[in-house]
Parts: sequence; C-alpha cells; structure tokens
Amino acid sequence: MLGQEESDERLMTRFRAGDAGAFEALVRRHRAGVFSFLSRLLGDRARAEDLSQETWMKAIAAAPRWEERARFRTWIFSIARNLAVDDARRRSFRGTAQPLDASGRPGDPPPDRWLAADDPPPDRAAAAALLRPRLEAALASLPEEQREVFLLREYAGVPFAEIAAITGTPEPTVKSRMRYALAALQRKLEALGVGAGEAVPDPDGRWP
Amino acid sequence: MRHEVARERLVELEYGELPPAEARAVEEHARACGDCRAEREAIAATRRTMRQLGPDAPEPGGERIIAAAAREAAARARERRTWWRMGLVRLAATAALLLAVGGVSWRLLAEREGRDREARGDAAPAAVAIGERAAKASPEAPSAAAPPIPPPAEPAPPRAARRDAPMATDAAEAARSADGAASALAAGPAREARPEALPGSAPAGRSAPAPASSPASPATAPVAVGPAASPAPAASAPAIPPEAGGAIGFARGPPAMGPPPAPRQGVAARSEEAAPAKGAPSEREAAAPSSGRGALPETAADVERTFACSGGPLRVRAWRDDAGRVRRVVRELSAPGGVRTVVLGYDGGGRLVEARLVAPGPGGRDTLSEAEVSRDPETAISGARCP
Repeated sequence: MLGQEESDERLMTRFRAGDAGAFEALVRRHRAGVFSFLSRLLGDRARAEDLSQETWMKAIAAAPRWEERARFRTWIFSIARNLAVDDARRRSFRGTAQPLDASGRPGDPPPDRWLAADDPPPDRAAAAALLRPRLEAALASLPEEQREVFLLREYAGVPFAEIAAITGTPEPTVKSRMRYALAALQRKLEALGVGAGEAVPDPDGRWP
Repeated sequence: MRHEVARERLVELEYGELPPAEARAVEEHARACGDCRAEREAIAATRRTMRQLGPDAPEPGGERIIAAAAREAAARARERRTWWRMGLVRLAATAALLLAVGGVSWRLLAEREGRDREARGDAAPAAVAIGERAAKASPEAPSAAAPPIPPPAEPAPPRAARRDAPMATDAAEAARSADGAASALAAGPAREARPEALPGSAPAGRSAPAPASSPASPATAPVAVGPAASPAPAASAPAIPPEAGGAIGFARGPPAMGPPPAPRQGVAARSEEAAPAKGAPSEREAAAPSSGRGALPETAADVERTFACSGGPLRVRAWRDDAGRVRRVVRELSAPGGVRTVVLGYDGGGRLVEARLVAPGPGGRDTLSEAEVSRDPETAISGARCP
C-alpha cells in the first residue's frame, strides 16, 4: 500500500506544474509532523500553530526554487526549523524569550504530578493518556540542540547528514548529540517511571 | 572492529544509516561485546518508548488556508506554463515555416531538374543554383552557373549539351551539397548570387554573346530575388514579407525574371520548364543590365487587365507558357510621377517563385506588401488588389 503511494517529490513536481491537489496531499501527509516538531521544539502550541502555517506558506512561495533532487521531507522541516530559530531569536531579542527547553506547556500540571509510579495500574486507555505527557516531558527536558536533532531524526525521519546541513553543524557533532539525547531520554524516562517495557499503544497512532 | 568504533556506530546502526558491510561488522561486535549489546538494547528500548508519542494534531482549519494559497500558486504556475508553451508553439511555428521554405525550395529544385532531365532525355541536367548555393557552386562550374538564359533562338543542341553535361551536373551537385539546410531566406543576401543555370546553359552560354562571358557581373544577377541582386537597380528593394509564403525568396533563374518578350518562339521542343526562358529576354537584359527597369517585356502579354485604384490605374499583365500556365506577372501601379512595378514569377506548378520590386514608384515603399505578392498566379491577375 505504502509502495503504491506517490512519493513526496513526485507530488511536489506535480504541484510545481500547477496541480494544487498534489500540494494538498503533501499537507495532509506532513502537516501534523511539522506541527509536532515545532510544538515540541518550542514547547508552545500557539507559536507552533503560527509557525506551522508560515512554514507551509513559505513552502508554497519557495516551491519554484525547490530542487527535485532534494527530499521534500528534509526541505519542509528545514523551513520549519529555520522559522523556529528566527522566531526564538526575535523573542530573545525583545526580552520576552521563552527558553526552547521550557518543560511542559502553560497550564500543564507540574511534572511531579505525572510521577504516579505508585498509583494503581490504570487501564490501557488511561495509561496511554498518562504516558503522553510523560513522554513530552522527557523530550522537553532535553537541551535544545539535542532535542532538535532527536525530533528531526526520530520523528521527522531526516538522516544525520541532512540534519547536519539543516542545522549547520558537523555530522559527527549531530551524531554525538543524538547519542546524548538518547542517553538523557533513557534516564528521564526512568525518572518519570516510564519503563522501557511499558508498551502502551498511543491512541493517536504511530509515526510513519 | 575496535570496540570504541563500534560503540560510536551503534546509533547509526539503529537508524539504519550504516552501509551494509559496516552494519554487519558493528552487529557482529555488538553480539560479542556485552557493553555494546546492552547499549544497543537501551537505544532500541528508548526509541520504542518515545515512538509511542504520536504526532500532535494542529488545530483544524489551518489546512484550508494553506490549500487556498496552494491553489492560487498552482494557477499562477499553470499560467506561466501556458505562456511558456505558447512561446514554444510560436517558436515551433517559426521553425516549421523555415523548414517549409527550405523544403519547398528543395522540391522545386528537384522537380525542376527532374523535368529538365525528362525533357532533354537526360542529356543536360539542369545546374540549378540558388543564392549562396550558387555562389558556392559557381567557382567550380562557372560556365554552368553563369549564363542566365539559353538563347531560345538557338536551342541547345543535345550533343553540345551532353558535352557539357558533367560540368553542369557537378554544379548542381555542389549546389545541393553546399548546404542542404540553407533556407531560401538565407539565400537572399548572398551577394554573389547568380541566376540558376538553365538547361543547356553551357553551350548556350558559349553561343550567346554577352551574358555568358560575364558570369560574375551583376548584370546577370537581377534574376536573384532579394538583396542578392542589389547591384542591379531592378532588385533594389525586394524585401518580401515573410507571410508571402515559403516559395518566395527563392532566387529564381532568369526565366522567372525577364518577362518573356517573345513567347512561343523556338522553344517548342523544350519542356514547360524551359518555356519562360523562351524568347531572348535574358540576352537583352544582360546586354542592358544597368537598365533593369527597362528590361520589361516589349512583347504583348497574354493577359492584360487594368484596375482603377485610388492613386491611379493598376495594370496587370501576364505571360503564359506553352501549356497555358501563367509564369510571369507584371504589376504596374501608376501614380503621378512614376510607376511602381512588381514582377512575379511562377513555376509550372503555379507556385510563386519570384517576387521582385522592379521600380518602387514615386515615393513608394521599397518593400513588397502582402497585396502585391499573390501566391497564386490567377489571383495575381484577376484578384489583383489595390495597395
């Protein structure tokens, strides 16, 4: 089924030839991924909404300059990433900086509340509902540069070499950050009481 | 593989970014090395856990705005493509026109030669030369290319023709191979453009007094359409509108040139192709080359019509060949102070092969207009239009 799906690059080529439907297919395919990346990178859903829209608008405008050899996935995430970095820079310049690694969202319960390791075992749906904020908290605990690499590699599926290009970082550094991120996540998950064996399916579905 | 190296590669191995050979080496090491095995398992477990975090859904509605922008951009892209395609179509049309011009010229050449061969028992293949082809060919076969018209009074004896046939053939071949793609349009500006050599021209040239002996003289050039003949006043401004059709610009030989003053004289044995050359106009023309304007026929035209145009009368005369086909049309528009004279030549197939402004007339444009160039000989006569 997946094999029969039209590739991102093919859709992009069709869009450039004037097929708006092809771009809408790309949006359906990647909109949640781009939004999630921004939301988890920034730790701010509202900003992520804005920047996500901006990412797609920018992609439409830049479509004529997109090179067919470039992977669409890498391209769209690099647009999103650069917008996030610019936005963070602007905010920090204005003195209203919200650190990218601020954990949790405004209004979320403090992380301690999630440490319900000794609560009675909930049913599966409840477990999933409880797991999600803990995983997000684990991500949020990562330093920004590690989180960025982890999000791009694990969820966005961008290879290390391309992450290096997107972030302007040497490839060995990118891989080191990934190793640190994985180690830090492991520790954090343990601290949050999420065991490695705790395989609870996420109701929102899995990443591709 | 060294432990440090393998351990460094574990992350890449887990994400499938190692080349197969390296991946096998790292895997092998990890199986044997307890530390690496544990590390690999830890990475895999962390990934399994983290991947349970599915994508976060953005607020609904935003995709409609994106879709609208995409449609707008797609419409612009289509527009650009359409314009681009239209540009391509225009380009293709121009290319096709140029090809057609070349093709028609080529066919005319081939046909003409074919007919000549037939008519003359293949004794003296016509040495045809157009524009620059003629220029290229002529040095190799000057006698063939030079003499514009065989004196019709003395039809070339087949034997004499045969004697010179090789040379004429050479000229034809040379002309052909010179540049097959040379379009008639390109042929125009050739300064050395020489009238095509007519069948049996070589012997004719020998027997004819003046013209044959002055091959390079512009006197023989007036037959060429376009700037090629510029030395001769007659062809001073024969710029032909491109719309006039493919066959124009074809530097036609003398037969098309001088209206046949002495029709049906001593040329009965010739094919219709030779017919326009009947009479001795070329001789006369060559003898008085500088007076190209005065080279208009003295013989009575086969057809003569006069149209009342606002500036003055338009007189159209036409000469037919033995088969009754119109081969030459002279169009004279009278105006106070002079006459604008246009000469049109047609081949046996009724195709326009020459269009020449002999005299622009008082204050007249020095280019031909569409109205003055009729692609069809009958239209040139009965459908003549006022400027």
